[in-house]
Amino acid sequence: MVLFLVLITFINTLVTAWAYLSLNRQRYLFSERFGFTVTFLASTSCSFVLALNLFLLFPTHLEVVSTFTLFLGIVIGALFGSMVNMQSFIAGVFNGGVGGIMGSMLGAVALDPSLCGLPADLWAEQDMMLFMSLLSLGIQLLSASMLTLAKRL
Amino acid sequence: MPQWIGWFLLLNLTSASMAYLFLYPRRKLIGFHLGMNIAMAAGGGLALGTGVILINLFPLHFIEVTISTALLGIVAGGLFGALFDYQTVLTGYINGLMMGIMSPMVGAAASEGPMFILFIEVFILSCYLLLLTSAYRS
Repeated sequence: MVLFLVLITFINTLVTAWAYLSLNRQRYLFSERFGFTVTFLASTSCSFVLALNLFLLFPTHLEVVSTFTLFLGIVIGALFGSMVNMQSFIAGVFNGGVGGIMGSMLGAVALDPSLCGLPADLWAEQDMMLFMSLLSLGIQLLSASMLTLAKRL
Repeated sequence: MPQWIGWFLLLNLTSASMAYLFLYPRRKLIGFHLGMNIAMAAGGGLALGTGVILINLFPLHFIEVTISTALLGIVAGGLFGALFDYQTVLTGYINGLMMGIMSPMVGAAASEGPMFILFIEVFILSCYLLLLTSAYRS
């Protein structure tokens, strides 16, 4: 299970890096509005997915991981946002931070459902980790395909 | 939780489809800035209301409710965004996805009485009303 999670995290990091490099290569072609939209999409989905994977990978260190994922989301959003101008930079920092917080919240609920008032033995932990990692992979691949489609159009 | 909150699902879907049918002939008159806000508010509001109601109706099916709400948010945000151009599709898609994943957790954390759901419904319907008045004026 740990090996599977590490593999999923590696694939998601690779897709994030590919999206950043391929957008960074043609950043002089972007208008302001296209930069804002791309920053909004890419920073939210990438920081959400990476925060969820990191929380599932280190479930015992709750405070350290949630602080680190917030910081990681801000860094990802600043990287994507610094391609165009100041407006997209602000949007990237804010949405990356929100995505990081939401990813660690979803991971916390998945590992401990009594946090939300659901019964504590609602699902087996293996099933939930499998479902959450496949969900994160699906979100990341869907967002990356919509991003490449946006560059073509 | 009483069972009559299931009728709010029908109310949400009806108001969303009415808003779509109202916006469709006017889509050439609306600028892209208002269009981005329409896509975000309509898709996110529909996903939020549906997730909160569904997790209170079926509290033991967290995974199914999460998947269906995220799909509904993606489809609703994409449809409302597809009235204008491709970048509003992207904005509506990511906002509907985020709201659809978050809303079952919010609904499970606040499942004491129907008061919260009533206020969520008032909030979403007033959002639709504001959106339609601003589209009517433009």
